[in-house]
Amino acid sequence: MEKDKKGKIGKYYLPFLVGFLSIFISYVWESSEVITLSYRVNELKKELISLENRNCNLKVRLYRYINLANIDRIARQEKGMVFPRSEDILFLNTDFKDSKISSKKPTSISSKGFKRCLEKVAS
Amino acid sequence: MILTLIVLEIRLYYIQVISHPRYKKIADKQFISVRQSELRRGIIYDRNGNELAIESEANSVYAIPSSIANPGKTARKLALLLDLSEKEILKKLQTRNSFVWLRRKIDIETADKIKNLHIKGIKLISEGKRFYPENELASQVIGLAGLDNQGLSGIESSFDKFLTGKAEKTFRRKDGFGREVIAAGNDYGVEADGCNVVTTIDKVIQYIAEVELNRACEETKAKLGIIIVQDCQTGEILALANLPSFNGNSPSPEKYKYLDIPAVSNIFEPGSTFKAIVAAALLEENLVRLKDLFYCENGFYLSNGLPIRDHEADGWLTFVQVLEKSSNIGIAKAGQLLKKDTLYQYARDFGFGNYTGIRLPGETPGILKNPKDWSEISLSRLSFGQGIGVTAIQLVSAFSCLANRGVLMEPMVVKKIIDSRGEVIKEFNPYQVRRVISYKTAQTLTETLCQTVENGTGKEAKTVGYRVAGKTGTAQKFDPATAKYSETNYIASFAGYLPADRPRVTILVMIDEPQGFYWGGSVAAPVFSRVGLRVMQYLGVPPES
Repeated sequence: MEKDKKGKIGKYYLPFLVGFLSIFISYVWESSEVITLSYRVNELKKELISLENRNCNLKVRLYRYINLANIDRIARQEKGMVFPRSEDILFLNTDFKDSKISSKKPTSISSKGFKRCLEKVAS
Repeated sequence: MILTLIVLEIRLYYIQVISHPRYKKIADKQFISVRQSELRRGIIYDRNGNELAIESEANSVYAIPSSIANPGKTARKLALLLDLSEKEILKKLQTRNSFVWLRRKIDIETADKIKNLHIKGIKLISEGKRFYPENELASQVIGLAGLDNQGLSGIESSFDKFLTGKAEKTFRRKDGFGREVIAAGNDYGVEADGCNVVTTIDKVIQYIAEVELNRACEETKAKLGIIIVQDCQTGEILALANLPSFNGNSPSPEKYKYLDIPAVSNIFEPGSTFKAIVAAALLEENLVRLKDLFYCENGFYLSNGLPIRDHEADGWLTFVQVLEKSSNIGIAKAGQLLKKDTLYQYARDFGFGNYTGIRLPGETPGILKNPKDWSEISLSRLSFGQGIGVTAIQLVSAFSCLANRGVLMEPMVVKKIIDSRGEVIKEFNPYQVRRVISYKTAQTLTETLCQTVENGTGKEAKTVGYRVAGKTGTAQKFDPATAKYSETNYIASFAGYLPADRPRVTILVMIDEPQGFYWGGSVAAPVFSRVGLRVMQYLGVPPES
């Protein structure tokens, strides 16, 4: 009689217990995973900032060499370069728009014609 | 037993329910961090996408005075590295504060040296610092950002609210070790890095202008110099060079002296360059024809009791020759054909006596008195550019109006603003302010101004291969001490545009107080020629001849 009773308890309550435990464990597991991942996200964020800063520092170092004044100095003083004479310059046919002004408010920049021409030349 | 349980339950109820807000507050203090991120300041670009101002990393040195064992020795060690006096550092280290800045935003090399000293109580913190890749280039237009990343001058100041970004205070949960945890209830707030500003400045044209301005100011030992290059069809400023300028990367406090932009904030008398404006008004009103003759009194004329002098003793001159030879007497006589109100209205229409709307800080409207306040001599004086105060940006815009066949464009230095995700949030399109003179008058005047360069005072502005229309100016500076025009201090200027037939750019060269030669034709015109030629070549404008 008592065995039957225990069997009944085991039959009805054990699955409930297992279910409850699995939900509980998965909740704990999920929470722990979220926290672990959030640590990882934060680490990656810090790494990103550090890489961005490093990139900035490299840019700063690069600009010390490639700024116009430095390039000009190297070209003139170290390489002995000079400006070309006007007759040595070959101009492409740039087909600029006539500068007639319409009464309409301008909406585009004047370099459009120049860009279009460059595209033509490139193609 | 029951009594104990009841007491315990009452105590639990008191802690869990009644004292809940208090304990929650204590717990939140321990587990929630409040922070406000330091956001990246936006980048300033030139019109072709070259960076003119970027954000870099810098270290700031601070001290915790209570942790420093030997302040005297520490001050001695740091003085040389931080470029501060030993006394100054010692004073900071001996304060009772728990935290004191020693030096903000030092370079990486110095930071490394300080790190290697391993001094207890001396710490370094990483902060954002503005870096200007081209050093002095366009320094006054770009401006300067302060130690706390706030704009102090130039575009850095006028577009500060876009460049700064948006950072709200945010709340994050943290664990027992102080590490941030992603959890429900975190408030990430709004964090957006600063927007990027695209200017109309062309880095190369700016460089050309600055090199030539430097050369001119060195040769003439001038006090100040300005060169403005403007796209006459759109009003876009391609270069705005001012001297003296500063290097925004330099730690020296000297740079704070030159934050103003003289091209928009300094007022000067335009001198003979203003004759072009008077000529425009006379031609538009049909009061003179190009062949009309004016007697120039052999170089000396008393107008209402006050003398007007010419630099050459000329007799009868046509109106074209009056402009060619820049005769003060000739233009004064011609100017008197205009009514006071008419000349005033034309000057206003050309943009004088008003803000141009360039969106740079410190702009002044100049001085243009109401005709009611003009004296008997005002009309003749104004005709050759005395008694009016203009800014360089107003003068260049007025000449651009002539080049643009009579339509005044609003000068602009910023093309667009782009947010940190690359989306354009604001675009500034070229804006026609008004038509000031007719197409025909503008063309006639352009031809006349070409003659000024071909045969007149502006000969040295001739540019190989391109026809130039322009006008020289030599203005005596007003000396407030003597309340008279100075006999020694002048402003030499040249304003013009090229190619005259299809103008692309307007250039103004202004040299303040040149030593030795002081004529606009001999000091400013050659600079115009050199800048003009190189700009034409750079823009790929083929020569006309």
